[in-house]
Amino acid sequence: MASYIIRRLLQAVPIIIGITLLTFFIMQLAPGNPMQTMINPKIPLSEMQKVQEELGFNKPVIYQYFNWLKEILQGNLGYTIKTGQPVTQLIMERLPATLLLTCTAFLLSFVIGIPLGVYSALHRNKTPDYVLTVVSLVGISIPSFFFGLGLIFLFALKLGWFPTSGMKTIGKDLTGIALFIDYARHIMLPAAVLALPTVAVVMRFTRSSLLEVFSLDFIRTAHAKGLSKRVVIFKHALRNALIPVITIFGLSIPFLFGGAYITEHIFNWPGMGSLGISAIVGREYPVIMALNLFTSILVLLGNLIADISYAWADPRIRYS
Amino acid sequence: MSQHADLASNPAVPEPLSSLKKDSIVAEAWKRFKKNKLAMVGAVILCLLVLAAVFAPLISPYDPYSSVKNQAGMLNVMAPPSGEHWLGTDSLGRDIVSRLIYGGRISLSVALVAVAISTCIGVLLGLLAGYYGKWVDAIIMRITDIVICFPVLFLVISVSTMLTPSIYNVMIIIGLVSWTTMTRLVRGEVLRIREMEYVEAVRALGQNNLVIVFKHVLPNIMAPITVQATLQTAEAILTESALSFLGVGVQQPIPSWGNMLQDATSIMVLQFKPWIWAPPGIAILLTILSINLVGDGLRDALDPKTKN
Amino acid sequence: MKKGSFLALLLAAALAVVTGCSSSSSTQPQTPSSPTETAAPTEGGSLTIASESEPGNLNPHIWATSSDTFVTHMIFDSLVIPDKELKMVGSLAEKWDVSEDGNTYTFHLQKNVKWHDGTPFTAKDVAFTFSSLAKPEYDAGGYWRVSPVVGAEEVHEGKAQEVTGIKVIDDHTISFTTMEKFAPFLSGLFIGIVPEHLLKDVSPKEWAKHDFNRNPVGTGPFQFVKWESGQYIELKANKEYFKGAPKLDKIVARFGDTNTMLAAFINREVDVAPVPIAEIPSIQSLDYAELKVANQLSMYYIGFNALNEHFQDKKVRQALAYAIDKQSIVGSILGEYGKVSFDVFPMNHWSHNPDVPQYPYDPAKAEALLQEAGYAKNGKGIYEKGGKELTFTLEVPTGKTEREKTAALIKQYFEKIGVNMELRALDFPTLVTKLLPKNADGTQRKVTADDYHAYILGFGVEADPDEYRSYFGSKYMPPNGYNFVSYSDPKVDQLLEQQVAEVDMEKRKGLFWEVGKKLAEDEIWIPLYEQEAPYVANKRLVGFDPDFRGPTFNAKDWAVTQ
Repeated sequence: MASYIIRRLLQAVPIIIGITLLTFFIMQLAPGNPMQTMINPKIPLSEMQKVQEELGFNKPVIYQYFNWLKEILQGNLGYTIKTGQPVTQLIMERLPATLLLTCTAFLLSFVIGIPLGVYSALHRNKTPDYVLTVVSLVGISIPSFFFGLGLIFLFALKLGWFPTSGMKTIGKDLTGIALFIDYARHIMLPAAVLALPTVAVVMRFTRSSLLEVFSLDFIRTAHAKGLSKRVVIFKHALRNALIPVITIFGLSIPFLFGGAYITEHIFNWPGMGSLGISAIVGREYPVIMALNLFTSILVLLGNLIADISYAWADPRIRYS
Repeated sequence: MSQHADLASNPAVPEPLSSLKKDSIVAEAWKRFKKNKLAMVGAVILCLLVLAAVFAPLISPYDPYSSVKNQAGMLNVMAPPSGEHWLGTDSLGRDIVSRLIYGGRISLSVALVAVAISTCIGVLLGLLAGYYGKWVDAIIMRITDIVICFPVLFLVISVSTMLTPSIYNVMIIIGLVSWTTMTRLVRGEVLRIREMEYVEAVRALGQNNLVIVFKHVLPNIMAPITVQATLQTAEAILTESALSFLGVGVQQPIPSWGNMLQDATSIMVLQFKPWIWAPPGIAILLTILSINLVGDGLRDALDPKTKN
Repeated sequence: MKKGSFLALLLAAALAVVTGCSSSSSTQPQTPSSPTETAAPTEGGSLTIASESEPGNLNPHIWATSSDTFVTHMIFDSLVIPDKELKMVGSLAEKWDVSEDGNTYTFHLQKNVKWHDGTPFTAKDVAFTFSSLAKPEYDAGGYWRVSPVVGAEEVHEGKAQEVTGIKVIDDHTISFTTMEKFAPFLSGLFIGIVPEHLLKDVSPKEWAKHDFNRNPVGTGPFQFVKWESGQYIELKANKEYFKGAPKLDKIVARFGDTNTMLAAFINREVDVAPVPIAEIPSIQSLDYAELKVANQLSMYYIGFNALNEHFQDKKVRQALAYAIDKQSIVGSILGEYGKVSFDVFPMNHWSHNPDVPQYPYDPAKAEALLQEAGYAKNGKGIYEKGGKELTFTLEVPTGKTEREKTAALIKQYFEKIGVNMELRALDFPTLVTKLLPKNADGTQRKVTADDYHAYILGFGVEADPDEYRSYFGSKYMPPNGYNFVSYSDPKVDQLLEQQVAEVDMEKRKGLFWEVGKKLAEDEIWIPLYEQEAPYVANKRLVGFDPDFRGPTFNAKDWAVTQ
């Protein structure tokens, strides 16, 4: 196992380098010199030229890339064009909110998706199965912003059950359980929007995986041995069926982070997504590119974790 | 994805296909597809949408770009549905039915061009990686691993902010970043086909690599490519509509379903004028649903093993 | 699956979603009508007020915009403030005397005023504030306030260190001496005083990036607590406020796009929000909502970059003015809250000349003017001259839906006569970077023909119409002012400089009327419309009274019931 993890980590290194190369390349498309945004605007004008030279302003682009990489490794993601705030600080301020939202959606996806998939598989080709199949298709097909607006319309505006936006009630100093409930009320709608497509995918995947396992010999044998249906399903079939579901973990991570941009925007959720959208409206290229870099590395990490847990669940993987 | 792989390893398929046999396979697939009610519903809706898009200038009751005036000489804004305007008018007094039809035309063409681009790239890279293996494979797959780490939507948005927003840029950008799944799929298929006897036989005969890939390998993996491209179209429509909704995709006054939904960010419209926002939303939903249904249907029809 | 059950399944799907979500709706009861209106306002309490865009700077001296003053009006005080008739009355200055020659103003300051950090406020802070604006390193749009003072020009040009015309007499007395009679001088002093003890070691060039800009200390009724970027700014009452403690304990200024904020209002998460005119129906049915309409001393216009080859010719600008059906725009988008405008001066202000050249909707005349200017239609039906198509981009700042819709309609009107206009949506701060461009090293530079083609914005009188000097005077092109359209006309220059020294009100008015007339003739700005600014307030808020000075101007007097 340890050697597998090390091997996967080593494989990730060239990918990380590739991610930075690609980010740097895209940055070159932006107007102005992207390297200028790496310089702390607080440094006096007299020293500006010196710093520019150090960063290789007059040197080939590839030389600038390495200097840029050096800055990134030191935690400098640049400074915003308009206010000169460090981008790293901006992202770190917003990271917890995004993690809270994506993790909630992630949990919801599996907590809701797996049971529905099992239910669907058990009632295969009966009405509940059809209903769930169509529901999941709709879930995959509905644009998140349309769904989000619909939820705001219904649950926030018409019924008033949930707040329309934000992460907490601003202006009230809540603590303890009240604070938790406040967060929970705010997160319900955005998490539902973000989770819907993954719930649908997890459900479909669980269903087909379970059906495949049902047709395997050992399940038939178990049936033949006279084990109760419940034992067969939950003790034997489900365990084997869920292993491939783990791959969805990895696949859902980029999806959730990508989806967070629209969802956070619609619900004014103060995370990296709404930071990204306002950076886009404001053409804050340093923020946009730092977010791209940051999310892609998060996604890479997510994939790594998914791969490793898959290998842990299914030992055959490690040797392939 | 594992279902597609089965097709290639199916021992019934690998003979170099005569044109006659190809026809019969298509005919059989169509027969199976026809039996799938949901897929047929999707196909019919999709056909209607495509027809509407193609004949948009003929069937649109009004010019989608012009605000209409009412009797008082003012612009007829946010008029509710009536005999004159079946779905009413939008916040600038433009006929919604016409904008919906033209919007479909824009959304569908953006998606089709984008998918054509991404499919070409994806298939080409997949073929190269799968057939040549070794370092070609290693390089291509690493690039794929890299691109796949970026959330497509945000990457597309980022790049589009740096270029001038136009339909063509939207098409190209979506196409350029969403080829990764196709590459992985094609590579996997090719890896299987490559090892099969007849390909080895052709190779032994000294056939040119290029000929082998395009004449013998590619035709045998058209089925999974078609399915994937279909599903990708749905994806592209979603991406385009999200971009346009955010204002960095198709720009006003050119209608697209995504930017028509921008009006729905108005609370008043959301609450009291459902005819403005529901139609484009439902149009996107229906289109994507249909494409997904057709995609699923195609998969089942082209690969009888997965559905029994 | 049976036919016809598809819809049923969709419904089932919707239902599944409903039940799925409602399971955890353990929330406060939302009784729609609580009879709170009758309750008397109490001391204390907190209030959330929404703004459509996040402030850029909280230091009042850095290119102040209305989204900045929305917050800074509550944190800072100025020497004088305008009353409802735009007459200047004392604030930090208890009273003042004007010397007989009309050139020296001596201000007697309020005693016992403290900065929010406890340091006493003195005349030195006033001197510091205005001296800083004269410094050559300062380049954030406020030099005009101090430029008439003796010695300011020398400091501005780097020839002197001290503005000799500003004299601190004692801790509570300060005098300003102008070079000559300067009519709008007092209104130029309507700007927040900043603390010397916090900023004296900071070059004014660094103010924008200094911590003070995001963590300000003022003397105003409310003091800064925190700024959660992208979400809100929190202020708490300054109990020691020299005009009496505010009634509220806390004000939270939230920002988000107008619709999000309005939705938050409907959900009672915010107490005050600006309402786009089109959204008014959505709040009229709420029994806890009250519509407050603030009159505005401003107009909306299209501004042209005079350096652009097409817009150098005033016939082109006039043609475009004739091509716009303003009446239709106002009637369809603004309704009873708007009026067609032909003058760059707002019609409720004395500077407005009711008799300026007008450009009623006349597409035929527009085309005739274009042809006169040497343009002819090309194969695509678009006018061109010398092989250059009359195609340009209009920068449209987001945030005001009325403005965005107007831009979309104008595009249609221009297309009808064969002019191609692209729209580019961008946020206001981004537009500012185009109008007031900077060099790579962050210093302001001149506008070039390529920085932008045209834009749509609002503008008006904030304290005195002298502000127009900085927008149309030829010597105020960036980096020296706000004349980013690069307008240059000797007559307007002369009139604008003349009105400055004119203390006779009637004569001064006449000068402005002349300016208005000439500007309407040249049409470097196309005035489009004026609109009132509707706000919606929760009825629990007492004393909310927005006017052209902004919604938060009287925040000290606000109170909440319950």
